Amino acid sequence: MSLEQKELTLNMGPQHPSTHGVLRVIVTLDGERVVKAVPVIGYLHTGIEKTMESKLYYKALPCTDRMDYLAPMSNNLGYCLAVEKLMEIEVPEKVKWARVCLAELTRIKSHLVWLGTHALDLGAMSMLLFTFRDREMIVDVYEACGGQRMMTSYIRIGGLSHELPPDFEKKVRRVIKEIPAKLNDYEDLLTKNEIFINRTRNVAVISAEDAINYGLSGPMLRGSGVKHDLRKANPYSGYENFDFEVPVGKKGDAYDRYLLRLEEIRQSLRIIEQALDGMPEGPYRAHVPGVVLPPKEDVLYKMESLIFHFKIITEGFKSPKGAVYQGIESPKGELGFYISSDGSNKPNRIRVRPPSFVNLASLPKLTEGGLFSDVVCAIGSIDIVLGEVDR
Amino acid sequence: MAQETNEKAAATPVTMVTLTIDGQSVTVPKGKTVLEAARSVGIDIPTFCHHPKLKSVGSCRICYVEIEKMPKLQVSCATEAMDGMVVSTNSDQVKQGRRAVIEFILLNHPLDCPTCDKGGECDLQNLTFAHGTDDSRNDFQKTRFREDDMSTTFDDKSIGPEIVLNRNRCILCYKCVRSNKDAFGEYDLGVYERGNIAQIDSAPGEQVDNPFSGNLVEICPVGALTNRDWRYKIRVWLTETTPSVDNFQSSGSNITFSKERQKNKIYRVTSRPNDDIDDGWLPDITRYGYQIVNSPDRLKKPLIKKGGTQVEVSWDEALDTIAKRLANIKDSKGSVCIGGLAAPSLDNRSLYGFSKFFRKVLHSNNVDYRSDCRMLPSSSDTICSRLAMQPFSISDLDDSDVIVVFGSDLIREHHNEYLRMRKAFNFNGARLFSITPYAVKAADIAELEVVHRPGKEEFVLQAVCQAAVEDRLVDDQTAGRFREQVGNVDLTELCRSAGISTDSVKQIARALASGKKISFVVGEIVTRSREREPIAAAICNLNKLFGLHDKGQVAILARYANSKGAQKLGVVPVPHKMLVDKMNVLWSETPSCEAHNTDAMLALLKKEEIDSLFVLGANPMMVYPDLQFAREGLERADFLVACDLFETETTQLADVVLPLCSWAEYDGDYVNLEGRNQTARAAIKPIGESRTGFDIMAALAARFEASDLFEVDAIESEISQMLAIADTPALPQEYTQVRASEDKEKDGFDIPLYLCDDPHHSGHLTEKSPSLAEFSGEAYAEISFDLANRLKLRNGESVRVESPVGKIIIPVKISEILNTDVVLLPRNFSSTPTTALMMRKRRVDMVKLSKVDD
Amino acid sequence: MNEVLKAVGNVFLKMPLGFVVTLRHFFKKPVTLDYPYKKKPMTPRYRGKHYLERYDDSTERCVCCGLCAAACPADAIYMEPEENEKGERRAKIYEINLLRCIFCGFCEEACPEEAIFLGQDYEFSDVNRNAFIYTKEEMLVKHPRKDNPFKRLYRRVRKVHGVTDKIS
Repeated sequence: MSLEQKELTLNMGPQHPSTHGVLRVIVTLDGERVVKAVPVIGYLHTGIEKTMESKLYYKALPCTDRMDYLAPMSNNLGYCLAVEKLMEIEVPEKVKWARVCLAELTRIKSHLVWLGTHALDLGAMSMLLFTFRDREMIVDVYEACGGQRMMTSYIRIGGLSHELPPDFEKKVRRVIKEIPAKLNDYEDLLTKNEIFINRTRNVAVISAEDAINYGLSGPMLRGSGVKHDLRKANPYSGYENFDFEVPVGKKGDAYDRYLLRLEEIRQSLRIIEQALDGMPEGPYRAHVPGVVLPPKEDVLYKMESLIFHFKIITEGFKSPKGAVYQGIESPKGELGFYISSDGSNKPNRIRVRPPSFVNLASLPKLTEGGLFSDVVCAIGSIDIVLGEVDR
Repeated sequence: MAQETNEKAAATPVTMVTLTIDGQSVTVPKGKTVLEAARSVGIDIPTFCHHPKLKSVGSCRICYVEIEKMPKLQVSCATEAMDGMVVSTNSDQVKQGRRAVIEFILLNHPLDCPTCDKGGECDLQNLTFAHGTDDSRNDFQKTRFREDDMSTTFDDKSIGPEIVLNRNRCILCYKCVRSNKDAFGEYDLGVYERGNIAQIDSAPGEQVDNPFSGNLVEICPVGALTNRDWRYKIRVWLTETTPSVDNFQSSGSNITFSKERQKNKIYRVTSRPNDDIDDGWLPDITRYGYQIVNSPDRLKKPLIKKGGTQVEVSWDEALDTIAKRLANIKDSKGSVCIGGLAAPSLDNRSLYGFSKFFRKVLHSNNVDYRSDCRMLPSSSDTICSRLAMQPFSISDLDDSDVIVVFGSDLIREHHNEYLRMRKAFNFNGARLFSITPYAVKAADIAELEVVHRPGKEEFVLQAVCQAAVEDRLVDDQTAGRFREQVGNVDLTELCRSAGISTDSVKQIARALASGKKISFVVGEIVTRSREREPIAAAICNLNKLFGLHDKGQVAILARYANSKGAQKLGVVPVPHKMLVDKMNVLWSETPSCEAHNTDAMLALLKKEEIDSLFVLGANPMMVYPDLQFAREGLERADFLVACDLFETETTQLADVVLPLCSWAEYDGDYVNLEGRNQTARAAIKPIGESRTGFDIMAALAARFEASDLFEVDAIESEISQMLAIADTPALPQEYTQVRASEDKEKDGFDIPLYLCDDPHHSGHLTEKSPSLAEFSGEAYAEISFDLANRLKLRNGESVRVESPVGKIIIPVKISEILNTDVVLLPRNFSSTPTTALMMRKRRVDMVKLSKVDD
Repeated sequence: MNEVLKAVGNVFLKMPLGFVVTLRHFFKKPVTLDYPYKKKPMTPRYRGKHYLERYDDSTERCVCCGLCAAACPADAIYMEPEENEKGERRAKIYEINLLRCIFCGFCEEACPEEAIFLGQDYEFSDVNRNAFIYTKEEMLVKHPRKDNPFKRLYRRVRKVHGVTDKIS
């Protein structure tokens, strides 16, 4: 007598704690084995691209905070670099160094959250508490800089919104000092943890060739052994001045990606240290009349500055006709902003290349033939933020 | 000397010069400036003090250009374009020059952008943003103009009912002072002091309250002059604009509404320069009159009189009632017992719908749009109406060398034409002649002002003809025919009875005979006179004798926004034959019953031979020149329907009142006095439940089961066919004997009374505009200084004005212009019914004045 | 047998070692906060609930210029100016819809009069949606915050004519 065999279609999400937001996955199962896992997206679609197109260039900035809300500074940076490229603005050296410093802090912050939630998905509860505790140091730096802990809007077109706070260096030095020890703690808890290894080793494997074919980027790509990092491949914001390694994995499984992200945190700390040590003196925003707001003090005492302030706030600046693309290495991969301008004071079209979205497309490949319980691990190791996937 | 060169320039063909601007070859007529040449090919040069309608002064110096072989930068607005010039508008030196000029202008400019209403549309901001830098090298105390008794930190000073001046912000471009003087002929604003403390201010002891003062605010390149209308209301970037056309004047100035959509509110009116009509100048009526649109007093729901009081009802109930009553009257007494009065300020569609509803649906011919004229002729093909249909072009006034204003106080009736006349005088050296029964403002630049005895218009015209014949100013053949057909009249006798000198008549005759391009403009004093036909005949004689029509234009100017449209669409009892023919084609029939005009309708209402009157937007109780007569008629009406924006004297008497949309609330076409069909776009949604005139007519037609006649597309095509009829009737080819009658009775009333519009008002609606009420808020009796002296009256004291039929007590206003014994009363204020003094059968109303002793 | 001994040894030797880690945390400063009773001091640039500043003579700084509303990416600010009894420009209505507000701080950055600031207050909850329309009366501080350690970068008196009386 044989049992009837039938594929089972299961709906996972969109309200499922391990889908990191409102991701829905339609899983077709053959027993415990996954035949197909199709991600369904759009539950968090907020029309950010279109919203940005309806706003003046400088007013579109807060929208970027809300895409990858775990790495707001990276989004700010990507957008600002794109607009600066369009407007042909050269920012002061100090701004570049500060931006690198902040972007790397953001990478650490994003990876910490990833580590906590990913480990939580796989059953290690205390990791979440530890990483969120440590992330707090970086959030404090954000708050001191821009005044907000998540939606920073600190990096602006042509520079930064304020001068770096007086205690910036002290706070960042503390991060540099404390994080390595914490990383060792994490490794103690996870790297040799049998349960963790069993859940991640040889799970969600993607070959280098597939990774390239899927257009993956960031840790997803490097985990499979492809040494590609925009900071090296196409340096922006002065990354060419920094000395750091680009770690790569071997097998392209979830465990490799875990190790790689931890290593990236260490490299980021190196970059931050260099940035702090070598931070030049200078203004915190470029002097570009008609595009960048004049300093507030001048606005209060100088007629010309007041007029420029007034006009930029009310009418924005007119961009030259044309289109630019600027990609940066965000914690999750290549974050790109494509801006097409028709010469008006609002972008004609903004298209974001979100790394989470592209990386998520590899989910069917990652989970195919695997166990159903490994779908959770696969989603976790991609490191998605639905705000960015759906925009 | 200047005249000589002018003549020479006119005689020789215009020479052209060719220059190179930014590598582009430009050819312009000689005499144009470099700036004009550059702008003609689309090269923009920034300016503050330049205004296309004013002479250049070159005071701001921002329009610097570099010209080869000239050592220094030149101001392009004051440099004449020469052959072979090589001009650069964008070289480094020019940029540096502009930057320096802006820095210099901003030296003393206060940091007022946040509080300044110009912020966002300010020339200074825009040009600084475009050509300046965002940093300043100057850190010192700025000059501050401040009255000692000011309690505010804002340094604003009120210099008129509407205008607020902030001298700190002024950049001394002098545009306001120049336009006030050159374009408007007003001297209430000037520049005082010198150097660092040079400042614009109102003339000592005077207010800037001329009827064009709003323009000063609009042309101010900074926020030095602002008006209370726009001040502190809304930021310019929050408003949207809608192109529209003025509704208070017959010339149809092009305007732009600034509105806020969510609040359904209009915030201001600015000009939309159209050189054929308004030159970019707007009178204050136009600029502030829009305020009636958002007035809280607007009628919002239909009213029906129930048990003596008017109560709010639904549109359906109101329309059903009207339809039932009209159908009743039509069936029981005949359609001849229904009459209709429409306002000549309504759009084409409303007027046409009105006429079609009466003629085609009710089969009544009793429609009229003229509710402010007395003793209208029953026929429509009269000399006067022919004169009113003559072509007229506002811009032709510009290059006329002789302009005669006959029977019109232009500044009260036709603001745009008034400005054109000043322009012709100031810029082209035109010779102006004014012939009126009382002294008028427009005459201050006239070569000769003839003030004749009231009610003697035709005598003056006859005298001019006679003088021409006697002085052999016209050829013998023409003179012979004139003598033959009119006969010989004694010139001195004519002049004596008209109260004018023979010399002045001869001077006018000489000007008319020598003029190359003549504009003969006839105004309201003629059209509203009882003897309009004889006067028109006299004008035609004059026209024939001097051949004016061939040398320019002779026309009676239409008075209201769509008077010409009403004329062309046949909203009169007996339209011209060609209009009737067209109606027959379009509607397959026209009623053949008797037709009555406003006068006849009112008279028949009084006799109870007409039972019902439908008033669309008009207010005969306020403007018909015999209040007693109008009231008796309307009170006896069996069924009176009145549609208006506000509660008026007429709606108070009505059985059904319907709220009407203002012109800003729907798309409508208006024919201006030149016959130009212009469209006013809807700026806001209708206020309350108000509807357009056409909607009301169509809804009523639907209740008569005739809604197929009122389909919008069909109506539009019918209107365009009606308007396309070429209707310039020929003026009489022969000379006519002029026989006018005069008033016999004197009864001890010795001072002639003229009813006119206040320069800041028009019709019966503008009273509801708070800004216009600031300029002139209550009725007054305007008399000459002499007369006031004799009556021992001071400005503002009350005077009793008595006529055989009425008596009013009214404050007196001593005019600087009037110099004869005459009293002018405005007809724009509902609180003072000035028409109560008038008798419709009189040619000139006579009153007596006496001081009111407290 | 050996393994059994080893396991027992582990329990008695290594477990206390583990507890030492736990015990150490007994003496560490906790990272959490006793929240409603104790509040986290925010950094000077913190962007919390808005307030409207006054001049030292306690007149309102805000002149209702509309730049904050123009800069607001969320269109959360609505204002209507009016002329006060002295003829000065003041806000008749100044409302911030806190439900729309995204606390980006652009209003503060745009303000040319140094009138609006985002304060330190981060606790706003209510049961009524209308309560989130934050009016001018609610925002306007009672007295000028001379001692405000946070945002005051440049103090000065009203500058109509560009006077440079800086008060440092």
